[in-house]
Parts: sequence; C-alpha cells; structure tokens
Amino acid sequence: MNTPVSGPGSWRLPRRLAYVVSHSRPWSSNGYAVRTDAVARALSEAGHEVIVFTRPGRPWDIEGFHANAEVPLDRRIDGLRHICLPMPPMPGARPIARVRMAADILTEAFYAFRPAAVLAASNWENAEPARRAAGRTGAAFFYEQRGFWNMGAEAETEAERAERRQETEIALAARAVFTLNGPMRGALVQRGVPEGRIHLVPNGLSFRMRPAKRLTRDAIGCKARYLLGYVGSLSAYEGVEDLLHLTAMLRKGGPAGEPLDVAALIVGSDAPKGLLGSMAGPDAAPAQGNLRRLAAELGIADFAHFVPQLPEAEAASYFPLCDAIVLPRRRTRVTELVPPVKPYAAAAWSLPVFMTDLPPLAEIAPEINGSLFPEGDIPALAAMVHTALTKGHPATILSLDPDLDWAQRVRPIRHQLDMVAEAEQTRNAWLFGGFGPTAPDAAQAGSAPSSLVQDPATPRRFDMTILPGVGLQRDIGAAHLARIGPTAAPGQGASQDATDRVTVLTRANLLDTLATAEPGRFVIDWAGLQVEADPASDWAGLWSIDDMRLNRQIMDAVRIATERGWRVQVLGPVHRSQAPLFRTIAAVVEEILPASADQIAEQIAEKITAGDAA
Amino acid sequence: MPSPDQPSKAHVLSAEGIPPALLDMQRRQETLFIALKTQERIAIGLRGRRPQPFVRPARLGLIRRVLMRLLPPLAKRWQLRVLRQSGLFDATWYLAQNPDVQASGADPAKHFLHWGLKDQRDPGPGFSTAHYLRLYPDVKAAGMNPLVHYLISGWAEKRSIHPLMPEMQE
Repeated sequence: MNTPVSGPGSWRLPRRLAYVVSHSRPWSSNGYAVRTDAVARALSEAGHEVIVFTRPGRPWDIEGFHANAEVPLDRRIDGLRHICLPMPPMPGARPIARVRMAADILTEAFYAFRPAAVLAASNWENAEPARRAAGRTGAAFFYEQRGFWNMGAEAETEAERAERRQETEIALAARAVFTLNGPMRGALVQRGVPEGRIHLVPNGLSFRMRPAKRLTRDAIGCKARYLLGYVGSLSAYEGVEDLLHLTAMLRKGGPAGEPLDVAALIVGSDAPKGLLGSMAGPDAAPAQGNLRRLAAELGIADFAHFVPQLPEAEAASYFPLCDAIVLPRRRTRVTELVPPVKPYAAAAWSLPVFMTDLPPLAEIAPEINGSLFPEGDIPALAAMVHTALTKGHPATILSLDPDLDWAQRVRPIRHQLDMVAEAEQTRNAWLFGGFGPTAPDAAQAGSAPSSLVQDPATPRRFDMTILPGVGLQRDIGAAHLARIGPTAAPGQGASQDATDRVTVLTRANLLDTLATAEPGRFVIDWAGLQVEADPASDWAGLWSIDDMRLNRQIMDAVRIATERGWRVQVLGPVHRSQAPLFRTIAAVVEEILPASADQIAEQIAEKITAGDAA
Repeated sequence: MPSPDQPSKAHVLSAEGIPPALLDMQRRQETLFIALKTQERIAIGLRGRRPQPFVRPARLGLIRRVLMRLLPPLAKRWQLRVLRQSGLFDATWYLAQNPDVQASGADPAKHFLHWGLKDQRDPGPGFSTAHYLRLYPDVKAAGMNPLVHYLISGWAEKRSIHPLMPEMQE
C-alpha cells in the first residue's frame, strides 16, 4: 500500500483512540478481554471514539484457529468498533522481526484511521509496534501496564531481563502509564518510571450487566442447598482444588460445625488464550480432568459441577446460581502484584467473595465487602463460609460504592485523552481554519459563527512544523529570497523588503541552494528574463521545447522547493505560447501578474465603457 | 448568492475543527482500507494453498519392509535418508532455529528424527510439527516422526502440514 502523504503535518481525529490490545472479544473471554471491553466501553460512553485494534495477526495466530474461517476485519460488537489486521505468518522469525512487521501494519492502519491517541495494553510485544506506529503518525502514546508477564518464574533469566528492559522502555516512552493497583505502581516506580506519569485505573464492575439467559440450578444438575462458585481460568496459580477441598470439608462437618449441604460450581477451563482452545475436546483440558479426579477422590463427584469456558455475558449468568464465590489464589510473584477482575464480577451480584490474603486482593476486599483467608487454610475458610451461608454476610446487604463503576475508574485515561483532544482540536483549527477562533467555541455556541468561515485570503494550510522558520523570520533575520532572472531590480508585482537576503540562482547552484538553504521565497522572474532576452544567459530557452535538460532541472528545482516549504512564485505574465513547457510546473507555483485581478477588471470595464461611448 | 451571515456549507468546520468534506473522505478511506486488508488476508490465505513441493520416497518392496520392521536401525537409516532428501527438512534453518542443537554439534537430521516428535520442533519453514500433531493425534499415538509420517502416508491422505494449509486440499 502506498503510504499517504501524511507526516507529522497531517491532521488527526481529535477524539479517536486506537486501543491496541492482545486479546479482545469475540475470540477471548479471559480477564484481559473483559477489561479491554470494559475500558473501551467506558471511554466511548464518555464521548471518545474508541476503536479496538486487536494485535496484528490475531485471531489467526491463536492456537487451533481455523485457517479459512471467515473473519470480518471491521465489526461492531455491541456498538464498539473492533478491527483485525492480517499479518502474514512468519515461521521461525525472531520476535524483533515480528515487532517490525506489526509496527508497519499498525502504521498503515493509523494513517488510514487517523487516531489522535494510541493506548496500548500489556505486554511489550503488543505495545512496542503500537508505540512505533504512534511515533510515526504523530499520535500521543499511552501504555496500560496490566501485568508483569516476565515475572512468572522465580529465577530471572537473561531473556526475562531483556523483556523487563523492553517493558520499562515502553513505559518511559509513554505520555502516561496506567496500571491496576498500588503494588504494580510500586514495581513501575522501582523500574525508574516517574511517579507523576503513573495513574491508577483499577478493575471495576459494570452495574448494568445482566445475564444473557436465565439459568436454574436444575440445568446444571445441582440439588444441593448451597452452591459455592468459581468462575475463571483453571491455571495452576488459581488454586481451584481448594474449592473442592472446602466443599468436601463443609459436607463432612469437620471443625466448622454441623455438616452443610453444599456443592461446587467451576466455570472455566485451562485454555490459556481464548475460547478456541476449549473447543478442542476433553484431551485439551487436563486441568478440568484433574479436578474431576480430585472430586471423585474426595467423594464429592456428584456435588462438583463443571462448565467449560464461556463468553463473559454467558459466564455471568452462573453468578445468580451461587451463594458465594471462592477465589483461592496461590501466592506467586505474579499474584502478589496483579489483581484479577473476577472479584468485581461477583460483587456486581452482591455475592460474598472469599479470597486468599494477597496484597492485590487485600486492596480489593474492602471495596467489595469481601473476606480474606490465609493461603491454603481450608479449615479457617470453611468456618468463614459456614458462618456466611448460615448467618448471612455483609456483602449481601451493603450497597457498593458507585466509584467502582468502570465509568469512574477510567477517569485518569479520560483526563489524558481530553487533553490530547483539546490540543488536536486547536491544531485542526490552525490547519483548516486559519487563525480564527478554535472549534470548541463553535461547539459551545451550537452553530458555527460566521467568523469560522474560511477567508480565501488567509492561508489554507498552516503547518506547525514550519512555524519557527516563518513566524519568527522578522525577528531572527531577513526572509530568504532565491531568484532566477536578471540581476537588476526585481520585476514588478513582487513587493520586496530591503531587508531580504537575496541569492541569485545559477544553473550551478540552483538545486544546491533550494535543497540546503533555509526555505523562503523562490522567484522565477519570467518577465525580467523576457525583457533581458540574453541568449548567453543561464536561463535562455527556459520552458521552450528546445532545452529539455533545462526544463527538467527547473522541474526538479520546483519539486525540491515545494517539498521543503519554499514559496514558489513566477513573475508573469507567462504566455503559454512562448513557454509551452511552463505547464510542467504551473500547477504548483504562484503566477504573479503585473496587475492584480481587480485592476484588470477595472481596465476591462473601462474598455467596455469606452467601446460603448464610441 | 449566500449572505455573509449564512456561510456556505463547505466552509463550515465540524465540532472537531475539520471540514465535513474531509470527514466524508475519511469514512471512504476507512472503507477502502478495510477492503484492501480483506484482500490482503485472502492473499495470505491463498499463499497457504500454494503446493509445498517435496521428494516422495519410493515405495519399498515387501522384503525390505519386513526387514525394516525386524531391524529398527535399518529403518532409522532409511528414514534419515528420506528425511534428508525430502526438501521439507532444512538443516541450516533447523540449526538457526535451535541454537541448542547447533551448540551441541549434533547432526540436525538425526536430532530431528530422534527428538522432533517429543520436542515438537519444526524441520523447516514449510512444516509445522505442532500443527500436524494437534490435527492428527494418531501420529502422536503411533510415536512416529511427524515429517516421516507425512512423507510416507500423510501426503497421500491430503493432510495439512502448516496452519494456513487447508485439510483435504486438492
């Protein structure tokens, strides 16, 4: 694709945000995709035009994705625009080659869609191409640090250190970094990201979300009086087997008191990347198999119900069935930092949530009236759940703080985007409206005042990039004038300041001067050349068909001059019969006639009246 | 002729400070961009259908088949030769992709024949071991090297050897 002419000087859509993410609906329903959807929706409700760009190559590179499946590249999912960008598969390519390719693809997309701001979410492999593309198109770049991928293992390898450097580099390059909680902010500060540039956008909940269909306990085959739920992935660090141990203990009685008729509901599978993996069959879900086996060993096989991973809206319909939600996360380097989105989903249903006492979960617990228990302490958990089920729990009666709503959570992002939009609107007003009042005034007034009408006399285009050169010319020094023509006084029509620096162009220094000197005015004094008519001059035969080489040189000169921002003027009139090749450049130069149009009109009028009189 | 108080529509800027005509063009540009990318996607898909040429091993006579069944080292030697001749195994690529093999100084073809199934390493850019094993669990169950399986019987069964290649293609 030919890249359109749009460098830093081109315009962008002030309220458009390109949200570049690794996982999005409809191919994923993990916490990442849930957060993507919630943030994008909250921002678009706040008046920003959010386009979700799924990382180039997704969804085709998801394990098990059918190669010939029909994928609409531009679709609206519940009103939110999602765009997929194809990327040719690169078997065996190094990550840096992929990043380069993805950056090129995103650059094309940003040129086409003109976002004023780019918000990229973790991890660096997703954000780095977005950062490069944003830099190339001049869009403001923000980074949403959602997790620390490289912290999975205990010992840090060279590759992990390299990855951390990449993450830090991106966070430093971003205008602002948004992260999820205090511990993560601390980790970023530790890496050297200025604290003032880090903003907290914690997970939130949507008060409006209601289930797609109504489910009953019979539908999942549950006959027990109480149901304890877990909705989420079955990764090892989630510790879901604790829920089965808990169920077994509560049924037996144990230290918690008299036996309770409880069952466990586990919604989710160990598909790491999305919904597709869960369609691969029972072999592909070893974690679920292990849990079933454990349930059988504990003798609660009839009271453990499994539902495979579902889209977010469908998974939500299982919440009303449950009496409490248990999130028995294990302590790892990641879970000590990164908060899950699950507790909020449960809290939206006013369910009691029991969570492991980890720093990110402890931060969430007071917000959603959740309860904490020491990691792996099943008896303590059993006692708490027992009390909650039999005597009630604060979460079921207390109402939630409206600040938990996503719309409130994304305020820091909105604030940043508003600043970008304001700057872009001002810039657009300069680009398209001369120096008139800015567009927001027009929006407030309700209708465009007449002062916004473009005056043909004002420059149609004002490029900020050339501002210092042009705007300060009078202060810095004289304007530069490069001219072709007789060395005598300049021809008529070109008003010239005595202070102008003048370079007389010869065929030897023509391209040199235009290409390297400070841009100013480039004047071809055609009228002067006609008067002088020196056959030995450099410019004899200009625009005649006899000297193609000269014509070619002038074309090159004009091209260079216009590209560098020279103002190209030809002192006319140029009679097309005398200069047949003038048409090669006529479209891009200003032809200055000896008299202004008004004067010509007057002269014509005089002639007409004279003729009438005769 | 419009009066100065009634500006002509073309010159009024939108709330964003952008002329409406430009916004119109922007919408058309987006449509065209999506159309272009859709075509690019189709092109990528078609590239996957491009035939993946390779050298098929000659069918062995009954006696040699029986011999090889009885003497596994003989079978190994034959498989190694088939692998090397096939064109789907690229020793240079294999070493570049697997620095550990390069470091160990092992023969790449032998290494792949021995570890290809277990480590799910790709023999060359045109064959995805992980893809082949995911689609065809029978290969994994038989414990056969996936590329050798493809050369002997997978090709005849029109199996797919990389994610872009449709199954059962003509």
